[in-house]
Amino acid sequence: MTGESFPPEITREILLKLPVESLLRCKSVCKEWYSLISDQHFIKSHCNLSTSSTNNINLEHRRLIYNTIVQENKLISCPLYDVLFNKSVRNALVLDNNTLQRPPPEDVRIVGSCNGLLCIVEEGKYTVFIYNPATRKSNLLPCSQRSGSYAGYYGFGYDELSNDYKVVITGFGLEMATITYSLKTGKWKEIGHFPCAHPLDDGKLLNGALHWVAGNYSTSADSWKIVSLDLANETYGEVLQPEHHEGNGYLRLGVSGEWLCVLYDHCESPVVDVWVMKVYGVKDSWTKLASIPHVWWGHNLSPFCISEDGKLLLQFGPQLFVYDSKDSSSSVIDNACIDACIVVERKGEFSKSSTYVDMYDTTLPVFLDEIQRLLKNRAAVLSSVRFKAQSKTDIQVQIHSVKTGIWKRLGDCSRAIHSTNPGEYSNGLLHWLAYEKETYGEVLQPEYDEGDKTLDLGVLGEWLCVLCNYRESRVDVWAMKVHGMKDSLTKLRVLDLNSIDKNVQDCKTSRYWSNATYYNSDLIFTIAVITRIAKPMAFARSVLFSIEANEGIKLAIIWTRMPRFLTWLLGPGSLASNHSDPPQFHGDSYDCDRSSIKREEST
Amino acid sequence: MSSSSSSKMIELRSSDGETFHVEETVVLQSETIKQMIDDDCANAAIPLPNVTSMTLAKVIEYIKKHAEKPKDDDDKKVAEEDLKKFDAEFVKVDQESMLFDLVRAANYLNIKSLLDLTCQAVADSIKDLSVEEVRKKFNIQNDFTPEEEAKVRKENAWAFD
Repeated sequence: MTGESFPPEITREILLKLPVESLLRCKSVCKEWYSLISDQHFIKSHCNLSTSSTNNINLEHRRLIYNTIVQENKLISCPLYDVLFNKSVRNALVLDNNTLQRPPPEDVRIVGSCNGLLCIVEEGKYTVFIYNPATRKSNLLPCSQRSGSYAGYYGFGYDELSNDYKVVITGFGLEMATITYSLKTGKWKEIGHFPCAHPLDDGKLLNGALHWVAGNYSTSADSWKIVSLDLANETYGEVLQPEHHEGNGYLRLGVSGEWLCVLYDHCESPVVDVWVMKVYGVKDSWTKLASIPHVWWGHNLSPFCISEDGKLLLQFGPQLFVYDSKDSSSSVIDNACIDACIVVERKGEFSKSSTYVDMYDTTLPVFLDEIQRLLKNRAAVLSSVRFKAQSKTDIQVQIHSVKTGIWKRLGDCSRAIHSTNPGEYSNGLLHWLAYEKETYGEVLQPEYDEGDKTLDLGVLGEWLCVLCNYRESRVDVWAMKVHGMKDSLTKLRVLDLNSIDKNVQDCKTSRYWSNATYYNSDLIFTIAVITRIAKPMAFARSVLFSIEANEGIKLAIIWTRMPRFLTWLLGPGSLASNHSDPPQFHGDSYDCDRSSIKREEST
Repeated sequence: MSSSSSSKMIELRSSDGETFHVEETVVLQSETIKQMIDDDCANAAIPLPNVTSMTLAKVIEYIKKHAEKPKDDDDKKVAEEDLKKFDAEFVKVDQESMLFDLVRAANYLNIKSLLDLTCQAVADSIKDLSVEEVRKKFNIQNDFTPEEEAKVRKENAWAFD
């Protein structure tokens, strides 16, 4: 290690704190940084840091994106802070995207934004695309046969449960049909009809649900409703409205931070009331924030943002303006605004296909057969990262029983488990290496020598082993002969990596994975050397070889283009085992059938 | 009971052999040291072979400041402001290598808030740098071929404006 460069975990910490633009530039620093920044987990963590905040709304990482007649064919993007506090769009960026250039701006409608992505509809043609303003990449959704000839109202959101982005079109056709598109499956499907009257605007995303104002223009707003659609289970609900003034009026919805906002336009007097629901779903929490005088602009009213100190960013007709509720002053931002949206800054990549959500999650079902075939006696336990808009990353642990073919969710683990490594099981418990102390119960580790090293877990019969890799020199194999007893830790063997086959050694290595198994009553240590990743998220050149107990080091297999994530899933060594029965899990205790361990010993 | 535990002193030894005495309550901000204490490995001086005395002195300055507890709510607001100022000054170090050392020490000692603070400072310092300057600062060899690099840059061409 040179004096200046940092180990990857520190580099990661630093890069996470960079703004998107710098990150994109930093991709060309070196291959390691490129793969780090392109990694889906990194992207998620970065997005998470940008959105998490104790305040109602964190202005720093948000931008106002709007569409105006003045700037032809382009979207304007500027820091929200500048808009609210300097009342200017001086730092605005003009987003000249190829996809956006084609239609004239009047024909582009911003449906909504979620996790930094924008959903945009081209009016008249009913084409929908998802656009990432940070990377300026867009993704055109395939046309739905159903929506082709009807105008409906749209919605765009993220379903946390299935880690999927969804586009919803509702209220089209005589029967008020609703269809949803899942970016994960790449398919449109029809769900239950819109439950009452018809939607009057595009859906607003809050709390995992889309919200529409529903009613008839011919009736009074008293009879209108706020209809919600839960994106996870695709069921409708209703959010009760504030007790606004009776009589003729007009209603518009918006979301600011965690608040659902209602703009209520009194038809008799030129005043718009601003209401916010401070606790989602609690009717009594509706609070009237301001009454804003205005000239008649028609029905096009939208709230976009409410700052902690009482500044409101609103659109009345073509006018986009900031209203200060403290002194009732307002300043116009744009006079010819068509549509606007608040977007969280993030860096997310779009792959060529329509699935760009999370690579591991989306590819898992596809490769499950492969994994089943290869894992055999190994507990296919995978962890997936789930995130909430306002909280830290939780690691959700799911367990897959190969026998029943069913995934089951276990309690959340708040520690940073080596993401997709399969857990090792011994003594009826599964073990993972974690960056921090494990919360599930920790097993004490041996005292290692100093120096740059990585750790891997393995199991030998009933012994839990830790393989400590001293980079490019040797691997110490420790075994815990009595589970949970630190004193029983014994250094079984020291494997000298310098005696490894020349071909392998010549590769510039970036990571060793190692494991220990029994095979034909011989101890086998397998070590995978993953060479520097040439193309991130594609394939890494990997080498797998085994070290047998008495015969020294022997090269077993070399893969030149093994998928990187598959290596993680497998963990080396599993190929060397020859058992066919999967472990069994009972109830919630994550007990594994001991017999499969016994079998392992008797082999 | 809090008074007796707060007076307990822990001895830390830097890589160059200097020893520091710090109150246990203060030093518990380091998860690494907390673990050692929990494991009863802290009866003698705790050796910190990865941290020099200069860096360790800075770290101790930081954790001491962050261990101060405000008395009441009014005090709390003032203390928060004060702490913000302290943090801002803390990362203004003369030598860049010192900041890098602090990042490493925060990582090794596992002090989350210090790691966040110092990493943010490093991030701020490279935010507007060109790729070449970043490489120089982190002593990174460019391992792209010219073709590969051109391709990567083209992907995000606007970020290089």
